Amino acid sequence: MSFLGRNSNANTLTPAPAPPASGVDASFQAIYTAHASAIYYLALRLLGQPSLAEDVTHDVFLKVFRSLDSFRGESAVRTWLYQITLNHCRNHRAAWNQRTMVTNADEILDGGFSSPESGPIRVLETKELGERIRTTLDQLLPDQRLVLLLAADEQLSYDEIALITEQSPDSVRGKLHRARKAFAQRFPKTA
Amino acid sequence: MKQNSRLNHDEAHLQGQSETTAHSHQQSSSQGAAEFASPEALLRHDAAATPVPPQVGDRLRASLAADPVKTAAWWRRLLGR
Repeated sequence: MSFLGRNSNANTLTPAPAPPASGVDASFQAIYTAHASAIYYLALRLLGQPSLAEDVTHDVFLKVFRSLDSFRGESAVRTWLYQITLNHCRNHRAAWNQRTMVTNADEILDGGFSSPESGPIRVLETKELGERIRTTLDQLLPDQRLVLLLAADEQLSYDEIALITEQSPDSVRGKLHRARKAFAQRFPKTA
Repeated sequence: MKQNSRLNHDEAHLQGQSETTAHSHQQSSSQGAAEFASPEALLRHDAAATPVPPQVGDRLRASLAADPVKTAAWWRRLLGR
């Protein structure tokens, strides 16, 4: 079940993205409708800038449109799309490197927290929640940030996250454990 | 199913909480306040509140209309090659 297209209330549906074009292959339109939100969100939280996320989302689906015939179905469509997305994100060198430099500095601090494993996250003020999430994600190591974002997608198994991130499922579990803890420690509960 | 391992792990992470709770997005205790079972649940809430800007679809629509690969594919299908 996708986590996108449905908000926390579960009674209010987020409008699906508009199909890209009339006359376009129906399978492509279906892919866009089902996955565009997930692709945009991942790009937005990895790159941190809406304009870059828009560029990546556009480029990813243009590539998909061009290569849909060559998709052999060896992995799930969502997995394939995420792999393309990560490649495009990496191609945005300036933003990617800038954020990597920032988070590398945090690596030094990563062992400096001694609070226990995270429990439920209580958010006292939901205003500007997206900005606080972005700020918190920026403080995680790049691998932790990526694994946590992918793990938030309930469509993905650990094996698929491992495939996307090119590491073992055990490594994914370990990084996810540390990412949860680091996120909970850094997330500001209030604005 | 492939999600079983994810569910089991989440259950371990969320000791004492049910699967349903683990995948619930938030529990509002008062207006403006919310509680999330995990960072992933918080991110799911954030993702659901982050729609794709309509200009992405507009740009894509224009790109597809002008895409030479699309045109070539259309001719290949027409010619059976």
